[in-house]
Amino acid sequence: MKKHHIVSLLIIGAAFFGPIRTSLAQTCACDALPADKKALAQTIFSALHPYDGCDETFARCLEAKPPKPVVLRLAADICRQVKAGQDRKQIEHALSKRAQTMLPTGPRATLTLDEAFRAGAANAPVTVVVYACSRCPFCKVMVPALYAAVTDGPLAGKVRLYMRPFPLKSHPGSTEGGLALMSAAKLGRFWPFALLVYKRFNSFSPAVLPEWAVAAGLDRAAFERTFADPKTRDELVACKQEGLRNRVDATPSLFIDGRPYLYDLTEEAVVDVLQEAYDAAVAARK
Amino acid sequence: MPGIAPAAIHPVHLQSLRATVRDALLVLAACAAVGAATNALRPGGIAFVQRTEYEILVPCPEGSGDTQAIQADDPAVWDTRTLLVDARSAAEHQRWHPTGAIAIPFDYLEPTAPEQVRRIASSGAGRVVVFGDGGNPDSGEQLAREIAGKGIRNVRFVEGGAPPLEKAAGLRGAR
Repeated sequence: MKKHHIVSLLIIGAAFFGPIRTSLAQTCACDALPADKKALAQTIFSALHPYDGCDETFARCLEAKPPKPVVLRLAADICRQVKAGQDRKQIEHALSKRAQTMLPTGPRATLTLDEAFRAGAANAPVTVVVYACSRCPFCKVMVPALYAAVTDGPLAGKVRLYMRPFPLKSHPGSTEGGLALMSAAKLGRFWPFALLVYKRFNSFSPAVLPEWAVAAGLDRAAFERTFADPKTRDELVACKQEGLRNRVDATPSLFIDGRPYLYDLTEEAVVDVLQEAYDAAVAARK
Repeated sequence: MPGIAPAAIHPVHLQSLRATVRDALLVLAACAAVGAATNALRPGGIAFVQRTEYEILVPCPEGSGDTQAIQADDPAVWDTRTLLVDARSAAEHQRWHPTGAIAIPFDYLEPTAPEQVRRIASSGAGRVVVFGDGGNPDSGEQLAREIAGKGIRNVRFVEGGAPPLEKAAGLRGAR
């Protein structure tokens, strides 16, 4: 092998293994950024203020020893957005939306917290309510992710989750799916059934719902009777009307302690905001 | 006119070209091997065959259009070019409705039937004013949003629903 071949292979090897070594050594969201993005993050830190924890710019607030946890959390979030390719204007807008979600401004939504729809610890200090349609592809991802987070994930013991069925007219089968969810809740097996409905999302049809109910541990006859009961439909309509009163016009729509969630609808962002809400709730109790 | 003969490649140049192509292929193969090995070793490497369905995750909208409220005593409500649509139940429509109003009971779960939307579209009305039960949420506002979302233009809903409309009708003694 000639000398220039060896040099080429060394360059290629460095290109592949260099970044891996660096990312392994540096785990902070900001430290792992490339130079140009790090510069953008620094510009943002010098100009923007966190909405909580400190009155100075991020740059000043981060110099505190130690910085407030909420400042660190928001700074890490900014770096994640910089890494994702967001520009300053987009990040500023996102931070404003996060502030609107977290700060206690405006009236709180009136939400029914029916225990049949709860997941997570009953005494968790933070409450999140999600309006979801059984036939919404986004809900299929978000609802099981939230369930996992509050039952066996980073939000266990911190956040309790309530789902409110909100069937969308644009989704065929959403009424039947909603009635099935209400029936499962009335029969005490809401979450096993809801998770099954989302797991088998692509093979949904109204005809298979009784079989799925059995698979979720429900009695078929009781399920079919409850499904056909006009009272179940009335309760589903009442659930949707509640959502409309709370200005829900899409699913999934989240409310944290009665405040509408306006920030990014990614699992990572939602979990991060809920962690922040938990920290704030714990701090308020002290 | 004599043709132009293709230039013959000198044997030395041909050998050099072959060597260059061979070297390029060797480097390409080495890159591919290193890349594949790195991908296989790192956690969460990229799958060569996508096993799950690719999905674009955006919130699912209710599919409603823009509409505005109108007061029951607004002359536009009572204009002959206005089509009044009653979103209340058939029983409530039977009890009272303004002359000429058509009944399209609003359902919170099922979409409005396409023939009802066509009925409004083919009415030739210059304006559509929907009234409902006046509750919170108001069935009239919800139906107005739904039909506006289905392409019906110039749709309004009566603020407060049927009760102020009935009162206004009594005061006007007409329609």
